[in-house]
Amino acid sequence: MSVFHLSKAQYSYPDGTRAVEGIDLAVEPGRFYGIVGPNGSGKSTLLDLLLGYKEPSSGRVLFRDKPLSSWRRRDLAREIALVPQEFALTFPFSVEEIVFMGRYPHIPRFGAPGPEDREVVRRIMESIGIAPYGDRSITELSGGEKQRAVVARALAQETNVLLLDEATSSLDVKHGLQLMHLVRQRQARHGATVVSVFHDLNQALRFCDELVFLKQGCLVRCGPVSEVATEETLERVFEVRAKSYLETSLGCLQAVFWTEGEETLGADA
Amino acid sequence: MPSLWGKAALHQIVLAVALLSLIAVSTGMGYIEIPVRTVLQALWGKMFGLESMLSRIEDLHLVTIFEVRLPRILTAAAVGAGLGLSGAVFQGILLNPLADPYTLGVSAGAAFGASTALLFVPALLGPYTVFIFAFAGAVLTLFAVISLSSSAGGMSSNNLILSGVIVTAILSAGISFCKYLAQERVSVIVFWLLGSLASSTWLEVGLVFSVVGLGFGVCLYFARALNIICLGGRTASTLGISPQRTRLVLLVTASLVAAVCVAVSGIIGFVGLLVPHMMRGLTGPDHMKLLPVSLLCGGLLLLGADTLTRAVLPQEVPIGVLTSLLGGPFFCYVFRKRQMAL
Repeated sequence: MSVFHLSKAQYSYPDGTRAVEGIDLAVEPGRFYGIVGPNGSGKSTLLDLLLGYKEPSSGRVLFRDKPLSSWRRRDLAREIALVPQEFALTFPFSVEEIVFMGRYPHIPRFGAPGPEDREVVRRIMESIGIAPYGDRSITELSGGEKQRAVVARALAQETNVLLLDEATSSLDVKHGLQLMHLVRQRQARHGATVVSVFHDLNQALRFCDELVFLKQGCLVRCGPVSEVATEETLERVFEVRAKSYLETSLGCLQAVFWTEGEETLGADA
Repeated sequence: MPSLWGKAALHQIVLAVALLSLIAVSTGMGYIEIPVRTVLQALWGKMFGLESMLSRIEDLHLVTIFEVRLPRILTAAAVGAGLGLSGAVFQGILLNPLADPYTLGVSAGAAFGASTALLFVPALLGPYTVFIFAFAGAVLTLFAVISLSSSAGGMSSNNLILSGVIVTAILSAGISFCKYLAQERVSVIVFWLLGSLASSTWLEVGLVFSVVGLGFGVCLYFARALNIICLGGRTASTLGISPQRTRLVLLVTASLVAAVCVAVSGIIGFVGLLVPHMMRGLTGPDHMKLLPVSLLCGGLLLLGADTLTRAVLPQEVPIGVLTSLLGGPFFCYVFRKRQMAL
């Protein structure tokens, strides 16, 4: 049974502009999916359709064989968690308070967090390395620390599906890699299904099992990284010259890009 | 946080005891001094129907306590509590620490309703005409602001604040026009706008207490959801919350609380802005802890200010003027302190 099943999914803005159209996609359990494509190709909209945050204008989005819209919000929150791209907070919640918010779908309406919730929060904060500054305000943290708290909040939901929206784009190289390793570890250990929008294609090539290429709201190609990340696909989707190669030190595909003009300049030099 | 729940409970207990003590002390203060012991005996006797205890107290004191002072004192405490509560909720929903119960134009709506009543039909619906018009004005303004912001592409924080500013500007022009038409009767409108608790009745006490109490229950029920809404609508929806519905319920509840407060007492500024600010410094931003202490501190602050103007100052200053006079400089102090801490 697929985790998500999209058939002819389309989403249009109120003014009629189509953000994504005709998407047919099956997301299989326990796999790490990367959604890639140029700016404005509909990556975040596709993620919003998977989240149930946006309803398709036409077509269907099924989650575990049931239309997403027929799921109760609270039940869905125990199944799917999101790590957003940006995280701006007006009020200085502490790191621990933020992580506790991930337990919201598990706490009864009139109840307080129980010992089990506290144990989950403690374990996750320790495993992510944010336990030492649990009392500090999130507004005082650096970008890397803040994003770890956000990931911890999503993990505290204890869901089988984790969605990431360019979760590393505001981080430096080191913190970005650390975060992706953390997610990958989680996926490997718990058999979680991960769908992530990537800004950095090389990061997607390195960490994903499957890639979904989008261009102008349409799905161009989708499948295992080694099969679909061809030079022809990269050039078609990103409209640049591309070369992909096996990076032996990492054991994964990587890619370099250049424009037509650059090639000539290189030859001149 | 669970480990800090004991501390939060302590804050609430201290504030509740302080508020109850101030109610007792304030009841004794005024032109006719009544010892606190007598006040407590009178309250005890009345609460438990102990006629023998009440018979030992002078009639003048009993009348002063139950007919003159307590309605005003309890109204002051309940209005302050309502303003503190709705201020905290507004700041949370609008993600703006500078929001207050009047940000969405509730006060301008109430003021316009009251001005219209005072000018054209001061006795149409008996002694409560101004109250009813003020409340209706506040509620109609709220729905106008919500519908304007929804039609402008969703009830986002910016849309709501902007809609509030637009509607307030239009209503302010209406209030000015009422004042212009009132000519020599303009003082009636001006005095209402300055705010007063002087003529409070037991009916008003009951009304404000029940609305504030009910509003508190609803807001506390949604307090945890309100925390999560602070993370942004998209994240909130992945945590099992409908951000639009939660925002609407809290907005309507907090506005109705503010509307009743303003209809009873006129426009009392700074309590709804200042109290949540001060309390956030004490409890942090968690609304489960912030809402109860904002409620209690609001009551404490407004009752304190009203007692000051009623029983301490040589001449009574309108309560709205006094809260702004005290609140303005204090807010400057809080603001400066925070800037320096950053």
